[in-house]
Amino acid sequence: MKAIAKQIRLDMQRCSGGAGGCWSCMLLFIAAPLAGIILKGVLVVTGHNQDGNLDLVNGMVTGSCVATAAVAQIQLFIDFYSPAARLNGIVSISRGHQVLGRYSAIVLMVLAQCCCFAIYFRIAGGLPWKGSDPWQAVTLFTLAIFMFEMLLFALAAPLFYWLDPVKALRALLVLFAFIALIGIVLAWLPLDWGALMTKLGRFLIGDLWKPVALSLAIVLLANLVSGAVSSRVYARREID
Amino acid sequence: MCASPSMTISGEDVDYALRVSDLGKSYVKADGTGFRLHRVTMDLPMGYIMGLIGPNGAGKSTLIRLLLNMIRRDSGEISILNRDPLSQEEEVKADLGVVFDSIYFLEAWKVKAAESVMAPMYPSWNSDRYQGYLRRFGLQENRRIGKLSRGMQMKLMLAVALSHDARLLILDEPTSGLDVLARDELMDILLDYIGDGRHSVLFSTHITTDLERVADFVTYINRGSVFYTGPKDELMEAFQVVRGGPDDLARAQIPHLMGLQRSATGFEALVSTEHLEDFLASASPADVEPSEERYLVERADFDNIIRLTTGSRAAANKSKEMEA
Repeated sequence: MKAIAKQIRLDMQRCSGGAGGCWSCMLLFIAAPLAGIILKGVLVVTGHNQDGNLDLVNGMVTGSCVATAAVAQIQLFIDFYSPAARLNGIVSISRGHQVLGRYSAIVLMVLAQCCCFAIYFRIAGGLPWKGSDPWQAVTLFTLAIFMFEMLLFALAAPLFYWLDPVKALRALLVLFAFIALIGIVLAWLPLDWGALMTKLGRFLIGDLWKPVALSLAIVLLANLVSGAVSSRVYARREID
Repeated sequence: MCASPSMTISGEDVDYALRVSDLGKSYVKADGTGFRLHRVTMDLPMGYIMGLIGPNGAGKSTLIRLLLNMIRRDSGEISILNRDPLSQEEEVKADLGVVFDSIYFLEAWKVKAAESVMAPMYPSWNSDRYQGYLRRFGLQENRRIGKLSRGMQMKLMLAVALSHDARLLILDEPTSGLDVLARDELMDILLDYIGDGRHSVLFSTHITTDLERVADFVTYINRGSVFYTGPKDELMEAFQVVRGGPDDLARAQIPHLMGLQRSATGFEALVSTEHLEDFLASASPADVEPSEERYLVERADFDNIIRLTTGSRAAANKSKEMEA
């Protein structure tokens, strides 16, 4: 546990944008929602809080959150190809704990971001979709962001542990293209997509605990598999 | 010139900081050429300094990376502070201090970030000692690490390595980038560091004067094999440099050579002390002067040993002989 905690701390320091501190990293991750709250306040005070402007701010905050998470994750792995990667070879943390610690650090940072994101929407962002229960809507939307970021990490991490950043990004793009292709193929299948979407909508607006539990289970399973692959890949990697 | 056997001093077993046995690693490049570290064996007793010398590309840095488990070994055994660095990696590394030839911190960090990063890694981190080394080395905490000169970056790594009571320091070319005064200061620090007998140092260097000053043991690696490992004084006494005129080297003498350089004005050869008499006896029949007066013989120093054995066929044969 101590080794994992050391790695979490180390990775948060790496994501701190040069400040070298854990709290700097957290601030970076929650900066977009905080900025959204402040911007909303400015819009209200200046009388520009029409729906269009609010939607624009919502979009910017959402996009910034996802972009921050993606950039931070890529930044962690770019270090493997600089002399700073040697730090991984001298710290008193085994390779397996380094992988586990990194996954844990990402979960913590994304969780913190999503909590602030939920607060932003509840206080300042209005509702992701109109006519819904406020708490349910915010929870589901935040859950979607959490799922997206964690599944993205689960997909990307083994590639970045295995390949250099440029090749890993290319491989990731190929994977995205493949996923899109599967989506297109599925869309052509003679399925009643309308009925499926209706069922999904009823599932989401039903008992809140069900979609939350299912989403967390999917994220956990994906990251467990991803972590196992990353551990095996990283155990064989040579640090020059 | 073989690996040092188990040592006993005054009938007591010696405590070893580092034991390496038959360590091997092969690299094959895309063009088919490769490098091989072959059956490296060496021992560093606790409380001593070992210098790792060899020409560029000999395998010194590869050896250090193998010790730190940064690259996977193909064969052999390593014991660091009586522990297995594979199964007890975290415990071993908590007792190691490491300096590389380039900085291992993010260049975007400031110097003060180094302590916040490294202090939690080591239970015995001493903040006062670290701050003392920063002052001694003239490192300003608010400077970006990327803006420091290479020598200052080296000093930062040294400050970190020396600040957590590491029982074994592993330094890869620590003096490169340091001026003469800084090198002398580092050598003094290392001598103080091992003074209590509980700490040891392994450092690789090209600067043989540093070795002559502080090293107790030397491991000389050439072409991926250990040419010599053992006490420094024995290495110096084990070889002689023989110089003579361009026509003074007979064919019968060549098998006795460990290294040879020829020039228009003569030759310079490395001969093992135990074979020196055989070498002199194999000279061409003296038509003018006895062989002892024909040649200039003097004790070899590190520079001569490295210079004359690098690339020499005799040294390559010796490496093959050791492999067999």
